[in-house]
Amino acid sequence: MSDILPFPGTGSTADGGEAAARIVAKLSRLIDLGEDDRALIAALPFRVEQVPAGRHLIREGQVAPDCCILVRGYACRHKLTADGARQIVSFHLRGDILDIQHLLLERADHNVQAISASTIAWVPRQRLEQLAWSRPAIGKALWRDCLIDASIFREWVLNVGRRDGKSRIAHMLCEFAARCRAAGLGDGNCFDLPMTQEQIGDATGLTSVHVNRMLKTLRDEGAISRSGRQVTISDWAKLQRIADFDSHYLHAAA
Amino acid sequence: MVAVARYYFHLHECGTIIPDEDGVEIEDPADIREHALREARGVMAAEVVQGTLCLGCCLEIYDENKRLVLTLPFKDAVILAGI
Repeated sequence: MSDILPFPGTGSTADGGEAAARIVAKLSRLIDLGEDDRALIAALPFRVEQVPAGRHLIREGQVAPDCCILVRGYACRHKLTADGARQIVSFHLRGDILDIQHLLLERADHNVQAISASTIAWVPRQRLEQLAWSRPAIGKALWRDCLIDASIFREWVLNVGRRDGKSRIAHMLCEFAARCRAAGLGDGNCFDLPMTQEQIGDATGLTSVHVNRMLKTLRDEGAISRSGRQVTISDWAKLQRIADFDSHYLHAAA
Repeated sequence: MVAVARYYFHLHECGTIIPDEDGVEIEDPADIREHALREARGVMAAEVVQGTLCLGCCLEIYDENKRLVLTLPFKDAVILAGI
């Protein structure tokens, strides 16, 4: 495992404003941020980078001197077995801090990968850490974000460990729809699903043919409809029932 | 950089075809059968958990030029004993 960031810097500060707006929007869902806190976040030195789909942003074992914020696009965190089998442990969308743990843990214990062409903003970890200690509201918001991440991981363990294939996929769709809506992407009923069947399979512990079959079953049962990458939840109550989905674990903020 | 070939795993379920529109990248064509076995066994395992198993289904694997490269009947994906 390399300690060197695996990509050439293509950063500029041109989109720093958008990066600041995204992280402020995200943290404001977690806590009531004052004007001075918002201004301090906006003044962080964001290094903005465009990355293609599939690019690894962080690799397990790497020392991470910067924290990375997803400004546009979609990403996942994943871990690999020794023989290369991948388990995706979370999906992320705009505004998410992809590696908040690196404020306090120096070395990455998992991989972070873009799953679509994405805009990333890097912030020196020490600068964000300083804000977390000196501004209690910002510190609390980041702490809440970590706790909600952990809550989502717990729900995913339940999903992969104890639900059948159809429920796992339905659950992943319910969660993604709820999080898209919170991030201002779609109305909660209709959203872009950027993951391939293979990625959905890696997130739910299923093979991609099985995922395809379960998506078809959900369509046939009238729970969802699909047009290309766009998914429409035709019957929320039905999908939620199939999924065993109760959004309380998202704490209304993720 | 050499482009990795993409293969499409269409599922034939005794009259119903579930086409694979995403496909999967497989670097070495020698790995296609192994991949197909994992896919077939994944579907079959979930069926067994639900209490049914159809051995009449199959996977058809096509390359990017829509050429059939492999057919894998489910009955050939497992060793059956004791029946």
